Amino acid sequence: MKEIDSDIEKIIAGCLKNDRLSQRQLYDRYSSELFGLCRRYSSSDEEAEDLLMEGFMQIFKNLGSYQHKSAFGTWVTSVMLNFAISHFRNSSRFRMEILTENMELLENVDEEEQIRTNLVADQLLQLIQQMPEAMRVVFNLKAVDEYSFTEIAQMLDKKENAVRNSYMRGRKWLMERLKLEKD
Amino acid sequence: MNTIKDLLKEHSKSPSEDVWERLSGRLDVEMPTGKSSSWSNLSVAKKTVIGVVSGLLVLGGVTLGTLAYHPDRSSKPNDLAVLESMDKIEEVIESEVVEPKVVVEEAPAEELPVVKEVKPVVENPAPEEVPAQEVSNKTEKAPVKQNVKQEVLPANSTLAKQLAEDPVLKNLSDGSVDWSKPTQLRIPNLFTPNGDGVNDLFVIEGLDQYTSPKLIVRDKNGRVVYQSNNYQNTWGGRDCPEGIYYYEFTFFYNGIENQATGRVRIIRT
Repeated sequence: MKEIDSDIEKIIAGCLKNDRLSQRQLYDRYSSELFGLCRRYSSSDEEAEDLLMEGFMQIFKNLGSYQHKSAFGTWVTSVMLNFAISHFRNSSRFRMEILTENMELLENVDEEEQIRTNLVADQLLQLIQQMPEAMRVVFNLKAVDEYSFTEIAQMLDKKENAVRNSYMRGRKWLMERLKLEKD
Repeated sequence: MNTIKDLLKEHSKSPSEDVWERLSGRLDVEMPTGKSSSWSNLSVAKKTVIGVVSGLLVLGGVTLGTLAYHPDRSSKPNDLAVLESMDKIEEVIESEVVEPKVVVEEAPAEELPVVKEVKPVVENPAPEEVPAQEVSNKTEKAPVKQNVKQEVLPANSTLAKQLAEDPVLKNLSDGSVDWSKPTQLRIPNLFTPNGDGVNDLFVIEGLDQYTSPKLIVRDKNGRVVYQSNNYQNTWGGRDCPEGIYYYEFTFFYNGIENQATGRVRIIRT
């Protein structure tokens, strides 16, 4: 563990000096994991690659602000996530519609209950990428990254009710399609 | 059966090599090797809002000092004249109670205006163009909780009424004005120069609202592929292969310089 740590410290130091080789090493180390994150927040792999590239620019530019308080991997992920959220929040497709119909039905769903599936990750991702944008972002934040509705509302600058509603509908949307896949 | 949380959280995939190529192209431009503090020579693209807002304020002869707030406000020579006159006007207006309100949290989500299909030009300043120190402060303070507050003028104020028909700022459905969103300028994020007469040129809608429109386009390696000091919607991507290009569009409104930067994709099929 110590060795790995000193290894990454070396890479960080190199990146801070703007050494291209170190930047490549850092990229190699985290790009697959972060691409995974970008893919589930995006509507296509192409969009995910754009996001990944821009996110890495943020990582390199803000590396000086990494305070060694958290594990480096955690820091890198949070920079990427923040960047992704601000990207989608500012996108014109990001609309959070409030539908009042069938809210009672939705309210009876246990929001913490885990959804299970036999699909493999790539099949599931194809579904997720088809979700409407705001629904997809909220769903990811809540169901995968496990933020609370209050936190998500703050991140997206939306009302908590709207966020909750969007999540519930996202859940319903997904479960309906998972059922179809099964049949 | 797996939970979708685990499936999504744990999956990873190598991106195509193209991503690194583009990334290193960007690094070459924005963080050239051998300079550890490369951000200091970055072009600091100013968010256009402050410019547009101050321009209008001077025009109208009234001001709301606090409304014109912008975190990136710097004293560029261009802004100085405006800031001075704003100071003077501020004294006059202090008696008028025109408190800027942050209405966004109250506004029902479905009422948020959305520009159809067309990418709004002036988004929040591209994060990479914020000076490094400011970015690091932000990241430090609350990594996941940066709220973008929109400052909205109360609907019943005189100024709001005057501005209600303003071509540049976004008018909300309740009659108030959203200062953070100039609307009339729309820059496309792709065009298709294939000679079919449809979308062959890089056409910036609303160009005629502004003076001295200057356009610089670079490829992903930072090479300038097009430049014009008086852009008239005539760039057709000549000699440019398909791909992503980066534009820097500078324009003047009421004598205030503004800049919009972004990406545009050329598709030739």
